[in-house]
Amino acid sequence: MPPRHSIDICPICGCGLCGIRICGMTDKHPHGLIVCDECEAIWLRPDTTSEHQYPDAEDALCPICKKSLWGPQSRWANWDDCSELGWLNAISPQLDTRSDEGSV
Amino acid sequence: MTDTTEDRGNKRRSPASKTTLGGLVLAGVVALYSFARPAINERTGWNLPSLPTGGSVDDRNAHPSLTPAGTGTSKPALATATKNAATSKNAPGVAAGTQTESKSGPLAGRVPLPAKVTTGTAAKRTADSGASQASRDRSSGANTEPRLGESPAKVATQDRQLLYGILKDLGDRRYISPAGLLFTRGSAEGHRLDHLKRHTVDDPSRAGKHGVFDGGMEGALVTLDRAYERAKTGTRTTKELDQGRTVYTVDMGTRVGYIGGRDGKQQGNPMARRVKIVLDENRVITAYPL
Repeated sequence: MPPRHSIDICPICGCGLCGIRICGMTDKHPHGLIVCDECEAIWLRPDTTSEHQYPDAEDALCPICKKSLWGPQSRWANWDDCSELGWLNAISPQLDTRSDEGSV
Repeated sequence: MTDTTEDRGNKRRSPASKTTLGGLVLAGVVALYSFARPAINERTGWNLPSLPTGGSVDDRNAHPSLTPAGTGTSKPALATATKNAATSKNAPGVAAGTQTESKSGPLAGRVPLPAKVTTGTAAKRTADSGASQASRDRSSGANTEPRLGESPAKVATQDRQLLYGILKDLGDRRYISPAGLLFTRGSAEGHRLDHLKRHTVDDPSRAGKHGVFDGGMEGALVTLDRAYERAKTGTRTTKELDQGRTVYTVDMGTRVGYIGGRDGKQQGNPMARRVKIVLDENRVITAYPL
């Protein structure tokens, strides 16, 4: 379940994918996050040189809506999600997952 | 009847006595041997030696109610003779290492003996009996011996209770390793162990590198624990601190896995000998070879 679209390799852990995640879909207030799929570092903008933060290790919450980071209202963003977020230009195509099967 | 050792060797032994050759000796029936010995001597012509246990047990008049060995032979008596034969050579033909089964006899029902016993030397039987008893005690949970540590049986039992043979269950889906790494719920997979499991198999479609531990989950956890021990002592380790997170990169000095993923595949899946560990205090966030 790696991110479908990522913007970078994680500058913190070195191997994680800084994937685009969309949250708040059930609230009709979608918002985007950049989340490392290994160390869970979070950026609020599609820029890994910006300030990052970490969620709680055992109860990771979205820093914006405070709901579960991995809950049903959140998922790795697909192309349309990235378009809705206006983050298409941040995508690194070489880091895309080639198959969307099994992604969350 | 002559009770000399020379005569005994020339006597023809009765079938009854043959059936009891090599019988089991138990320490607790020594006295019974003494009870039966006179009767056996009289019937078979053997000169079964007395035991140096004092005159009281060798005195046939001291136990007048004891049935004479007229309907069979005394298994305990001959078993004891086996023991003596092995040491004094005074009872030829009584061979150790044979199997016998006593179904009747004057002492049958009086002495709680197993119905069928495979015999060896007296000493070996004694040792085996003790080992069997110890085994039974351990299996029943009885602590029969003072130990500084836990018995192997108990350790083995605990090993079966350890997750992946290494992780102690702290309850509430929290597990701790011997080195002190804590695995809790969290991650997109729901639990850190499930996330770690991702790093026990390759994901060739994954962009970038994907470190894969050798040895499945058991191997990954053992390697990870060794890496954490090295990290704590600073052995060939780089350490970065960031907002409560600690990122260790530990050079293990030998192969611990390989590099998979798309990049790893392109490079021929080179071996990995370093381990990256990301911790929140001692909670594992992620760990993988690189």
